[in-house]
Amino acid sequence: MTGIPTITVTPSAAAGAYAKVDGGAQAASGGGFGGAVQRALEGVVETGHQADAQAMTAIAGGGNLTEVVTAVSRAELALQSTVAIRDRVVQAYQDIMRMPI
Amino acid sequence: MDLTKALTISAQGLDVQTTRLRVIAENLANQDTTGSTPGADPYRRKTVTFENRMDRALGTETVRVKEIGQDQTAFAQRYDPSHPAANAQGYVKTANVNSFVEVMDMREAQRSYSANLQVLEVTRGMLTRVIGMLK
Amino acid sequence: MDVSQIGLFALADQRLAWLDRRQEVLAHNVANADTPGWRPRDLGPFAAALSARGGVTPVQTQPNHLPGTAAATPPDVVGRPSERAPDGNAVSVQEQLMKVATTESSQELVTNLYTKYLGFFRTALGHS
Repeated sequence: MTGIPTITVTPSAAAGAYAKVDGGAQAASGGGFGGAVQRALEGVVETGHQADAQAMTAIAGGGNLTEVVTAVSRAELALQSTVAIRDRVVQAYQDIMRMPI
Repeated sequence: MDLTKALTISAQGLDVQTTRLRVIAENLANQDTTGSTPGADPYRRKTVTFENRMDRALGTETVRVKEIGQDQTAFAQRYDPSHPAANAQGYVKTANVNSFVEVMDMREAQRSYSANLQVLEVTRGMLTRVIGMLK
Repeated sequence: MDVSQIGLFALADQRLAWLDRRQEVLAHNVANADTPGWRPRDLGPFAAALSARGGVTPVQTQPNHLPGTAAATPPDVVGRPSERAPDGNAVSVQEQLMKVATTESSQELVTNLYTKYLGFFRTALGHS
């Protein structure tokens, strides 16, 4: 379908990118936990893109309804997880900064 | 707003079908109405015609009853010399209402009425959903 | 930050406007279900309406309305109607009600997706 505008900024990509910046600091400390978090965050952006594409198709009138709803639901969960991690990371950073030397 | 206009349109549809049902009821009630003096005409069947017109005052197309006319079908006659409306030959003119036709028309009118009502309900639901986005 | 600049919301705005207009056209058809000579109308497909004009424009229902920035899309008359009554009325009530049902469910889907994506933004912003 021509004429469907493409998305330039997605909330899922924005949140994922933000969390990735913070996650980079953790990854330096070890491939174990930090690496797992890193991998999870990279998956979030991809999930978000898939959901966005499905949603655009559905809004324009096409697409498979079941696929759209499941994709958007997965993206929602991924976003909420990412935001929760981001908030924890920020909180941890603030805790560290508050520690007396 | 398009959706509130859609509500008005459906309401007009309900109006015209109600008028039609009223006329059908009148026809059915008078199917045995004859004249009271010798040779007089009995009840003449009424018909309803709809039209879709651009209403300048409202600025949209509206559905309305164009006219309530009279069915010009000839009256049937039956032999009944003792009837007050019997003519010199003893025949009484009977109303040109066929109850089968009226009942079929009534079913059609009811179907159209409920279709308009259904569309009205759906439009209302769409409006409610849009307003619900504010929550 | 103007949400309407983001493609998904802009597309949803246009689709909702198109669905509203379609509901009006379909309501018109059902209201004229017994008007002599009436042929049912419908809008062209949404994808065509999307590429024909760049955005949502008001429909000129009166000659003295100010025209929108792009040509308004008039409803099309459906060619070759499926049934015709003796008085020339071509409205199939079942067909119209079917279209009304699909319009309604499409509107439900788009408004829910709209709300869902607004929620994504709110989540990313941190429930402020």
